[in-house]
This record gives sequence, C-alpha cells and structure tokens, in this order.
Amino acid sequence: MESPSTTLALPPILNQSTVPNLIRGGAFALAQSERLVCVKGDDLQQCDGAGVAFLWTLQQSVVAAGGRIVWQAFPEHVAKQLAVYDAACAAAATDPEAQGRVALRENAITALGRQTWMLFSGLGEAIAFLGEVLFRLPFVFSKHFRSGDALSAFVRCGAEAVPVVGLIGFLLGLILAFQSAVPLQMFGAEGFVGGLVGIALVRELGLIITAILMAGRTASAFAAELGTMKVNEEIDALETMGISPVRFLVLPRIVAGTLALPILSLFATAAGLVGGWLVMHILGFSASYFVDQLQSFVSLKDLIGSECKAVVFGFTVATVGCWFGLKAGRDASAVGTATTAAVVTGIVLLATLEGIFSVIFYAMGW
Amino acid sequence: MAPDNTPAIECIHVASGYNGTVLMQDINLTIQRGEIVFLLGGSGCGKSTLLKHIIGQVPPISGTIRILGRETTGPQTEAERLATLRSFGMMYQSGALFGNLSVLDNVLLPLREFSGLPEAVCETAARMRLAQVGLLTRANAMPAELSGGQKKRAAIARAMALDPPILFLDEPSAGLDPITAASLDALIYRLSRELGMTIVIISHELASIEAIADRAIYLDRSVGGVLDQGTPHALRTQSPHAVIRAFFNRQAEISPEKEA
Repeated sequence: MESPSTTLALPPILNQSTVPNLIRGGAFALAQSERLVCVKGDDLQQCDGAGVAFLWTLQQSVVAAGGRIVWQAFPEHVAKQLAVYDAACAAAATDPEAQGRVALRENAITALGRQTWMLFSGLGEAIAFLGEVLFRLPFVFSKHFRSGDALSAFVRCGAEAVPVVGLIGFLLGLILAFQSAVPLQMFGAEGFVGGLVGIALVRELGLIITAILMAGRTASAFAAELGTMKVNEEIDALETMGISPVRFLVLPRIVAGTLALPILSLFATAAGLVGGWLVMHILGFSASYFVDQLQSFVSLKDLIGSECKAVVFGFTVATVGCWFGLKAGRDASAVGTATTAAVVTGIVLLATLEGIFSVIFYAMGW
Repeated sequence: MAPDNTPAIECIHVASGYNGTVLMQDINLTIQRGEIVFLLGGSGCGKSTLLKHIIGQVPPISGTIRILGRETTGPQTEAERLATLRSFGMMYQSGALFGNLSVLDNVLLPLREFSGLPEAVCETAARMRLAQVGLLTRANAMPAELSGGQKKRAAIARAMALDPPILFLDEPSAGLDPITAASLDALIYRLSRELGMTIVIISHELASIEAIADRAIYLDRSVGGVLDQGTPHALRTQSPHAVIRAFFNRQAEISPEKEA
C-alpha cells in the first residue's frame, strides 16, 4: 500500500474565518504538488458550508492534478455532506435540464432578420391594439365608463403639468424673441419680432414642446403604471375576469391625454407670447403694438390647425404609453424598458405626425 | 462575540405596527439558540410585521429587540448594523430573487461580497447549497424560468449561503407540493441540528409545525402580543385557549355535512 506523501491536518473549526487561512497557508498548492493527499479530520469539530465547499474544491483540484485524496477520521456528517453533493453532481451531469442553455450565437444576418421580424410582428400587434382602442372608443360615452379614472389621469397629466409647461413655454417665447431680435435689428426690422414669435408659437412650437414634455411625463407614467400592473399579474387578473384592459385601463388614460394636450398646448403658447412680449417691451415697443403684430400675422386658422394636431398628438402619446405598458415583460427591468420605449417611440411618432400634418396643411393652403 | 447562552432573539415590550397603526401593543418573546420556532397567528395579525421589526427593516413603534444579545432598536454604529445583518439570513415570501442574475449567481452574491473565499470555493459552496435544496440542475436558469416552489428553494439557498446563525423564513413551504415541503422541512431540521442554526419560521403548514417545530408562538391581536407558546403537542392538547386548540385541530372550517 502506498503511503500518503503529504498530510493536511484540519483545524477544529472549519468555517468562513478559518478556510481563507488554510488557503493562504498553501492548502491548494500543496494538494496539487503531491500524488496522494491525506486529509486528517481528527480535530474537526465544526464545519460549516464554506468548510465543506473548501474540502470538495480541494478534492477536485487534487484529482484534476492527477492525484488522489484520502479522508481520514472524518466526522460522519461532513463525509455525508460530501457524498450527498457528489451524488447530486453525478445526477446533475446526466440531467438534460442541467446541461445549461446553449447560448444562441447569431451572426449579423440572423440578427438583422430577427430584429426585422420583431419590428414587423410588433407593428402588427400595435395596429391590432390601435384597432381595439378605436373599436372601444364609443364606450367612452357609456355610463360604465370609468370617468373617475379618466379625471384622475387628467389631473396627473394635465393639471400637474401646468407649472413645467408654463415655464418652458415662457422661456421658449423669451429666447425666441430675444434671439431673433438681434439679427432683425441689423435690418431695422425688430418690430416684426412679435409676428415671428406669434406664428412660430401658435403654429408649431407651443404644441411641439408641450407634446414632447407630455411624452416624457405622461407616456412614461402610463407605461410604468400599466407595466407594473402587468408584472403584478393585475392585467392577467382583469383578462381572466373577462374585463378588457383596454376598456378598463387604457380608455380613461387616452381620454385624459387627448383632452389634456390641447389645453396644455394653448397654455404653453400663451406663456410663450408673454415671454415674447417681455422682450418687445424691453426693446421699447408697446403692448398694443405687439397685439397688432399678432393680429396681422396670426390667424384663427393657425390656432385651429394647431389644436387639431394637439388632439391627435395627445391621443398618440397616451396610446403609445399604454401600449408599451401593456406589452411590458414580467421581470424587474421590464417596467424600465417599457418606459424608455414609450418615451422614445412617442417622440419619434410626434415628429413623424408633425411631418404628415405639414404636408396636409400645405395641400389645404393653411 | 456574545457568550453562547445569550438568546438568539429577544423582543421586550415591543409595540408593533407601522405608519402609526399599532398592530400589537406588547410583544414579549425569547428565542434560544438552535431552536426551530414557528410564529403563528391569524391572517393579518402582524406576524410579518414583527419579522420586519426583528430584521430591522421597519423600526417598531416602541420596545427593545436584541439579536444575539446585540440591541438593534437603539442607535447603532454602521459596523454593528452590518454585523447584525450578517448574523441572519432572510427568505422572503416571494423569494425576492434578483431577476437579472442566474440562480447560481443569486446564491453566489452574498458569498462573493462577504465571505472572502476564493471564487472556486465560493462557487462550490453555492452549488452545494443548491444541491441541498434540490436545485443543482437549475443552477444556470434565470429566476423567471423557475416555478414558485423552485424560487422559494433558491431563496432559502441564498439566505443560508453564508451559514448565518439565524435564519428567518417567511412562508417557506406555502404553495409547495407535500413531498417538496417535507424535504424542505428535513433540510431546515438538519441545518438546525447539524449547524446549530436558530430558525424562525412564519408558516401555517400544520404538517411542518408538527414535524420540526421545537416551539410554536401564537400571536393574537386581542391580547396585543403572545397568546400562548409551547411545543406543538402541548399547544394542541393543553392550551387553555380554544382558538389555539382549534388552530391545531383545524376545527373552525369543517362544515357540519362534512363532519357527518
């Protein structure tokens, strides 16, 4: 019988505090340099999970180096834990479940194909969702419509947005007027600053800035609310009860968003005009001159066109928020992903719609 | 290190509740080292809230709580606070696994952060924990791929990764099949007897209570604290409180037809 070439005597306590000492003392190095390692457990009284893990790892490293390990005078419960783990590993090795998921390695073309497929299938789902929303829209006038929910959503996305919308609108008008006044002064045309600010704000900027703010504030909030409900299986519960989430959750929010944006955009425009007037006042023009300018440059058509766009934009922002909330995943990151997607998609759609409206209004001669 | 005869957990005149709502006015209980104790009580009586007070997640309204002799309700230095946190493992009802980490990485997390062991030993220790809860084959799975029972078992593996002297389990076997629940009970029993862990369990599983509890503590809002405590057998047969005897004999809900 070959005699052990080295012996490792274990301390009485083998736990998280003592194992690092053993390793620093060269336990692994020793084990790997010898053919036969005898581990003595005479003194071993207490051995926690870290201790057993250390012993098993030691055994693996000895075997990997081509050696053999002999356990000597081991407490039964430690030997048993090692044996149980050996058996579990052996069982796991043959278990197909444990083979690990093969990471799907895809090349650029497969990735492109998958992304394209996802884009189009997502588009299909989105169109179906839009269809359901439009189909259920008449429900808004039913007595079962959750007008209380709509009101609270309206307060959150409309009333509570007034301070930030007002501030941004005011600053926008102020900056626009100030920046255009300087070059116009070179031509002696600073008197037209009021008209410029008026047209820009009423036709486009007041609405655009409010819609983008709403995409950031409201689309994200809707996506987060519905996404969290999805994670908590609340949406599933609604569907199981036979209640359409679109009817119950989405419609009140869409109504709120669609009504809030036209009002907010009016408010932003008004605040912007105040900012523009302030600059004109500093430049020495009277308030009545500013109003005259507005009257001669801005027509009611401009305002009506802008408000029409606001209704569509509000509907879009609210729908996009709800859509991404409803299709959120179920893990911790799902709500964050849904929120980001809602804001980004909302802004992209706003820009696209703005382009479409420009063409339509041009064709109509507005 | 506190001498070994200090109780694992002491609650002295603890008023439990939060946001100004008092659930129980005066909880007094002592849990000795190495005990397996079940906290019982009707739904909504504040068992989970008491557990939150003990683990320091929600401060109690008043009273003193000591863990291994260290008072946790008064002011603590950061080092004391960490030492207290390291002295127990907690399994939440939902499992509370980190969804972006694999099951193995979930169990490895505390080992990597606190044990100071080399990576190979950490990984073996984590795999051993998973083997103990019967999840070795799912080590590489993500939590979302696990069933409810598997999530609980993974959470127990994570709670005991660092071999804490105290383990808190919130409903460990609820929703598990009887065989898995029994193997979980066996695991809890072994941890307590072999490693001397103190184990505090919130559960209503009578089978588990009968099988492994050293002591059961019944909390009741009508008395604002502990109504009675003792071994499951003593509580079932000798408790002066009808509600406790009914609890152990499962009497309340049996309808007359069924009894007939």
